[in-house]
Amino acid sequence: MISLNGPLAVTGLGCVSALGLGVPVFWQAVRDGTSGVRPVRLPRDVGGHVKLAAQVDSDLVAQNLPDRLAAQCDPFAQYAILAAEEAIVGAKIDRSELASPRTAVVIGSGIGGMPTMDDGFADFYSAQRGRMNPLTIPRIMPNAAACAVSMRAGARGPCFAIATACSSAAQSIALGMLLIRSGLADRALVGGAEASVTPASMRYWEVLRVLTGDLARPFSRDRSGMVLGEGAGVVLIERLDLARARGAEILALLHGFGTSADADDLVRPRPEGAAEAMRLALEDAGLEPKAIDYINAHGTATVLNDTAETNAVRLAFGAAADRLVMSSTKPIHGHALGAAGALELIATIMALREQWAPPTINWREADPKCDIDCVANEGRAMPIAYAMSNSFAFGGINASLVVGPGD
Amino acid sequence: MIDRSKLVPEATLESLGMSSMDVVQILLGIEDEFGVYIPVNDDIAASGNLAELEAAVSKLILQKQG
Repeated sequence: MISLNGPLAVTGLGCVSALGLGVPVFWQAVRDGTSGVRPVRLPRDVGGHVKLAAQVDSDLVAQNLPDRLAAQCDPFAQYAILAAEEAIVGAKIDRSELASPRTAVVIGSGIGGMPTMDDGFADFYSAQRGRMNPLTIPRIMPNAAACAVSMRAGARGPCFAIATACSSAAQSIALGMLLIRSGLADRALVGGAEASVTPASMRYWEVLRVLTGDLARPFSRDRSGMVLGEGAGVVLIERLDLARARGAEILALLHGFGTSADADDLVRPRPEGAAEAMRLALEDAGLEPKAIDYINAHGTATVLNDTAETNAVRLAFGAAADRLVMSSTKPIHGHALGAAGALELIATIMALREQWAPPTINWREADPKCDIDCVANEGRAMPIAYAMSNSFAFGGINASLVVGPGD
Repeated sequence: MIDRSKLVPEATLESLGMSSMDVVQILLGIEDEFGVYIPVNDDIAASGNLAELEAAVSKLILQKQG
């Protein structure tokens, strides 16, 4: 059945983050505003000023994987495997139904196997070069996580990795929607994975001047940048009639997506581009702006993003912007880059299911340029009919997703 | 290279033909010189000319040197 619009069923959620393994610990922290940002543990000290990040406990992840997979896969793929497994188990889908050419996998990543690259280069260029890992290339490749998920699930349909920096996961989810709507797949495991807290990566982000030396304080006047995060988020989406036919519990409906390119500056966001993605997502969902009660913001806490995002919401929503709330959960789980859009869609779906707007923590001071209610510091119960999740990326890539209630 | 005679307090980044990435390079140079991390805060982002940029950066350096 081909239907180029209309909602898809979200039947499984899974994630790995600095908060730990799984959606329950992730959501508990997001709901309560408990941050996973801590002093980093790194294999090499290479100087630099920023020593805080929302780092995944990679030992905990490896302990929960078979030894063979832990050795074979870069951490970013390991995170995706565990996140996908949680989504599959939660969806209570028959493994034989999943192991099919009708199951697609789209798992994005900004970079791919950064830990393997960083460790490999450190060793390769050192005087005491060790024996190289023969799996270096298949560990690094940006589609390693998508392939690992596909192999574990036996999913033999279209398998992609989207690499659009911080919009990778949101665009992967959008592509999964397109594959199902176009009739190329019946269901898709979609999301993103990133392992970005490595010695060189921390320094690369620092010299770009987007990391704060303080805490991330989205929408606060004294904000000075983001805090890095990492992890993976995977959701199982299914054609709605098929999900109903198998009696699946439908956790939420994925109503629409919108995506656009600024075609402007490499790193400076353009509000009109982000507004276009939000408008397209509303149009795809068949909703008026006033239908959206909650937005999970891209909200990186850089000076530029938060001002541009506020302007973009005002452009896309008009007067309806005054009645919605928009929080950033990034100070809790960090900016997980290519995984961000998936972790944040999960936060958005949980917010919808529990009718609870998660807080923007670390907020201290009103900024007239960020004048949308950001649920400062304390989360709150509120009616949420429909919600949106935003992702914006270097390269000027914008993506918005719209969700509504399931059964 | 920018002609040094153009580096006057009221010169704007635009008048010097500088992009956002040029500013990042300048901040990196200042960091190396003074040993402090200079994230882009509101003062720096709002700097319209060299005098304002110098004031915003000096404020951060003095804060961090305690």
